[in-house]
Amino acid sequence: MRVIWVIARNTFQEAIRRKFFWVVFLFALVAIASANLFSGIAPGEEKKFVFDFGLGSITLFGMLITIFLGATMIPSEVDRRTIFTILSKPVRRWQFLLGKFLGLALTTLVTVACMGILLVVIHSYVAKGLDVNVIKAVALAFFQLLIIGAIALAASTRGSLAFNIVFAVLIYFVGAQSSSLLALAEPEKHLAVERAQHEEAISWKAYVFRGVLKTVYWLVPHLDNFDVRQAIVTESVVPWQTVINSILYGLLYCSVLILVAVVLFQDQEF
Amino acid sequence: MGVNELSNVSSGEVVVELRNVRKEYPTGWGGTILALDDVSFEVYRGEIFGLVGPNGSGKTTTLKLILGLIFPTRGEIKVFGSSPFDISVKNRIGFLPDGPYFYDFLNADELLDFYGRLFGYSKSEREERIELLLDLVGMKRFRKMPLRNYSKGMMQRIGLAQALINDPDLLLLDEPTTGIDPIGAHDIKQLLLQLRQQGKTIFLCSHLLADVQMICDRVVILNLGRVIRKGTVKELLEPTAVTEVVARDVSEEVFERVRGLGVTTERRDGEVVFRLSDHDRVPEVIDAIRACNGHITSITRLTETLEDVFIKAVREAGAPEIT
Repeated sequence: MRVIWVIARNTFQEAIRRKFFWVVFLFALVAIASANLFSGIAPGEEKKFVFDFGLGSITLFGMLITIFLGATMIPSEVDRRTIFTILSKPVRRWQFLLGKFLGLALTTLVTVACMGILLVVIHSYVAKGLDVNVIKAVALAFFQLLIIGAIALAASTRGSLAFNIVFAVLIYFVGAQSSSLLALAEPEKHLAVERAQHEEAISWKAYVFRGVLKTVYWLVPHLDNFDVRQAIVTESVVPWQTVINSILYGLLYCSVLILVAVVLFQDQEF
Repeated sequence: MGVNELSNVSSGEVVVELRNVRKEYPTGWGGTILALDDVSFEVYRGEIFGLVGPNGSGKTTTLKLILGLIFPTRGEIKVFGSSPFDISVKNRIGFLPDGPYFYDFLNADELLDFYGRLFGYSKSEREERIELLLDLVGMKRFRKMPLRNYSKGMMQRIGLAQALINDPDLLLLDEPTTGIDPIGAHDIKQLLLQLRQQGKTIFLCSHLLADVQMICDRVVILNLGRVIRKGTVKELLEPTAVTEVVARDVSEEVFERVRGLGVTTERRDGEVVFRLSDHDRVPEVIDAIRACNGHITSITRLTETLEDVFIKAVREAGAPEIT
């Protein structure tokens, strides 16, 4: 655990000393802080606007930081040959990778926490009271980013920088629409069409298409589970059970991704 | 006399062993490129071992195999009797890569502290080691400067410090004096000799053959992934040794007689130079010179340099021009 922590600490230290990190982070803080100024464009909806704009900023800027750091993590170590001196020390490959992931998670946590605190403060000011749902939404946004970071890191064990970034962004957009994928794959469930009647009507091509969609649905992370904006905007309460289930799902998904990354990294040559 | 002849503390205990190692790199589309072919050699405890070869000969591949950064296609590699992937092995080695590049957002103190932490040293142990090593590599003045502002030579020095952070038994160095000024390079060579005196084993890859000849006990010459020469520096240079007898006032008759013995002769600045590869004939030549009232100016035993041996060996092996 010591070695993992040393690498995680170093990864965090490196991330927060990058100019890119500070530019994006400060821009995000300015965007969230200015949400209240722009809320005037939606009279009577200021609370919803601040929340929507703030959470959108957290997700967007958090994603920029997480994907960039995650995707560059291993390629930059190999390109700069810093990995030679690390792996020639008593560091196992899985420890190195886990340390890198924890460093990335720590950076994302600190970034989201800072942005989240600012959003909670501004939202509480506009709403004239603390809304716990906002905290829940920020926590879920963090786990959503953690999954994307783990995808970028896993891809970076084999892929090039450009591939890793494109891959992670693509997975994010597909994952954010995962329930739509299922709806497309199983229209009879969603459109209340008679199953037998429907199956009779569709061709083999549609079967293949549906199979592909279902496979993609099961492979990509269900990121829409982490999006509670609709519930909050409609002023419904986000149940704790939903939050906990999503967090557990996020942790499980990240664990599987890191396991895959470790397997891919184990026989990698430098 | 080279430094290697002054002190050889090699113990006979094998520290690194390569047996019939072959390494192929995939080139995509199912093809491979051969980097090492049937390479075997040993490195003994307490010696400075030199691995030399032209560019692309397989030196760095060999180092990476010993460090467990890549996997052999065939053959066996042992470091301290264990697999190079064994974590206990890595506790005993230090490595300086060629043209080292470290985390440039750190300064020297932070970098060495980071590496010290990987070995599990306590804060006080790390502080003690860092003080000692920064002093040793002459970098105390620059300890708080970010590495991104370091020159190549400074980076090399700090690279050497990180390689020594765990007081390793085996030090693997890839071009340790590249980019370092002559005084710095001299200091590093002296340091390596000191480390050998302490019983450390040093595995040195270098293009600077004069340095290798000066400090290494044994040398392996690699070419196109194959071992083309190996042995002690003396063993490699001895076959090239000649005795050069320089004399003046040598009669024409004696000059011709000595030349008739198969000795290489040359006239130079009014003197005559006799070069004998058969050292047993030296007294005979001296007697002949004295018999004709000639005066011997000097008798010198000469060997080719390691560079000469290296170039000949590489060309004999049929390699393209050395780049």
